[in-house]
Amino acid sequence: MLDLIANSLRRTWLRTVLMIAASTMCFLLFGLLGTVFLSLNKSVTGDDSGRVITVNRINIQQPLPVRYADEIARTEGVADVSLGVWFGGYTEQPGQQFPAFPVRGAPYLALYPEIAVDPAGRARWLDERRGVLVEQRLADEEGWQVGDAVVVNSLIWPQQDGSKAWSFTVSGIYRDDSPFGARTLLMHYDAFNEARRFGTDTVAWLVFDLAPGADVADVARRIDDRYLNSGNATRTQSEEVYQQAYLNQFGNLSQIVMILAAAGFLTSFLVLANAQALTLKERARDYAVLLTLGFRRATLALAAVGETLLTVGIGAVIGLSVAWAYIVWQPIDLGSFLPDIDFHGEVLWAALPILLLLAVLASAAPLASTFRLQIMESLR
Amino acid sequence: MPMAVDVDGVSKTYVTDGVKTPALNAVSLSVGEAEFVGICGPSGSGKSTLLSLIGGLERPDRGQITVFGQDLGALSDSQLIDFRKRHIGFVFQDFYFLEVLSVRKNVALPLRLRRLSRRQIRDSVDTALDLVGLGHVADKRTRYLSGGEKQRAAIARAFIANPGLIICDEPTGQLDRVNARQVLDLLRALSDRGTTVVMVTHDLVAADACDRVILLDKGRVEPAPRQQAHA
Repeated sequence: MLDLIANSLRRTWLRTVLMIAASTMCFLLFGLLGTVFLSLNKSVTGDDSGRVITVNRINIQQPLPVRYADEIARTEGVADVSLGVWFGGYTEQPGQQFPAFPVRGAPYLALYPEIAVDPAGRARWLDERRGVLVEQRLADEEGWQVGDAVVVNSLIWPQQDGSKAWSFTVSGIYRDDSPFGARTLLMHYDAFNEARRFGTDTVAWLVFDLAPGADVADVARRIDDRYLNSGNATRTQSEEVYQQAYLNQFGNLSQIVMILAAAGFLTSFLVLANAQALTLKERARDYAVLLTLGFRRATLALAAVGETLLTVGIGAVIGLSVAWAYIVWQPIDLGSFLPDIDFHGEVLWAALPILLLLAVLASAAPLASTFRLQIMESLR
Repeated sequence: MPMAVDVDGVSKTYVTDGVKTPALNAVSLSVGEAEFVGICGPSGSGKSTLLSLIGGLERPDRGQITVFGQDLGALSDSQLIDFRKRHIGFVFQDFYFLEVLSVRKNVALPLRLRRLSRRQIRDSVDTALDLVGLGHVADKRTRYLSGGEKQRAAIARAFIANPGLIICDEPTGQLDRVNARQVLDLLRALSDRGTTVVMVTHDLVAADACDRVILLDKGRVEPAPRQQAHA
């Protein structure tokens, strides 16, 4: 039967190649989009940090007064508090931004233990008002080393003299493998706040840890109730929920990705099902001969599914390999505001049921015909 | 003589687009074991239908067909497939090879259904192909064979699994006189070895090679013009 499948595929080689191509496109799309989907979801759900974020109730772009940091720090159930501001940093091309944040140093490092910096670098940064901590991958890209004087341009913030080119010293280099951690740069909020031309004493967000035993919903309600009737009402939520809300600014990316993947799957299914239906029509007489000789219908059906599985499988291997190679050698850049896109092993596991489903669905109509096939009608 | 095939009161009508076309009407006949029987008649007389019913490829509307003591009507579809596999070989006018396979692999198909080693299958195929004089084209695709070679290969495929009954539908219909003679000789040799051969033909030369000829006309068995015992 394997002979028959192999020879049949060879006989209609052009159709076989086109079927493999359709399957390749399906799994290439699945590999790329599945990777984006998983990366987005992992960035939200992969890290149960316990951190809580407070932002302006209107939207994330509206600032909050910096005094909220001290007020929130005095709230029952709140531990370390830090803050952050979007800096919009780049070195040469504004389109090649990296995530740069003015923060409050010591509490920020306490809140983010995933920032792996050596003690000397940490101490140096906390001492240097114009010092920056740079994530390893950004430092490698820019060729920066500890002690280097560097200039970082801001898309948003001019200094008092109007210049948007900010000078810093690299105090330390750290590694952060969390979803939003790659290529980040941290600077001191106080120095930034004094130097910027507008927006003084405002922050984009506040981040804090809960004291042991504190309940996030209870703490969030008390904070938000306090500022409800002020000019800057707040929205306090867990970091996980915040990240989801943040990603939702860009549209429901997961849904878009899923729709695109489904469209690719459906298109490939239609191509494969059509090709399989044609194949069976051509082979009806062969199947009738085999039934005459004593082959069972189930055997022929298995051969039909096996043939589709082989074709789709070859396409899947090629498609997923190309997707993997593309992501590894040509990383997908969704901009500095979205997490890094890495190829996840889960994509391969998820591809397996898709592969089987595609093969079975594409073979469904031919299979039904195989079981209905009348020997004498097919031989006439 | 023990009976290989017993057809008793068999009728078959085809219905196409609501139009009924009677093919067989209360046909009864018997074929003894190792007998070489020809079924003759004009086009539309029901010859091929009778053959497909005896071969278990179709089921009659009425009547009973017994092959080697087994009532085919009592078998389920899958049992019928098993029965065909064990007891019946087929030779068609149009050969019906799987064109993607070589002669050797086509002839080996019935053996693939049995628990035989590759070596056993290969040896059996070589023997069968030598017997029909096709050892030299074993690895060729069937489309490169002449009509006579194709029919001899089809006969090899039919007898390779040693069935008790071989059913032939116009096996000489597409062959010239020389090749037709070779095919008939092969069928005669099989019959002489104990295989029952039932052959549909409208070729008088082919009919002449049979032990006995059954005439069909308008779906009924006509009185036999002669009975010829094989010498």
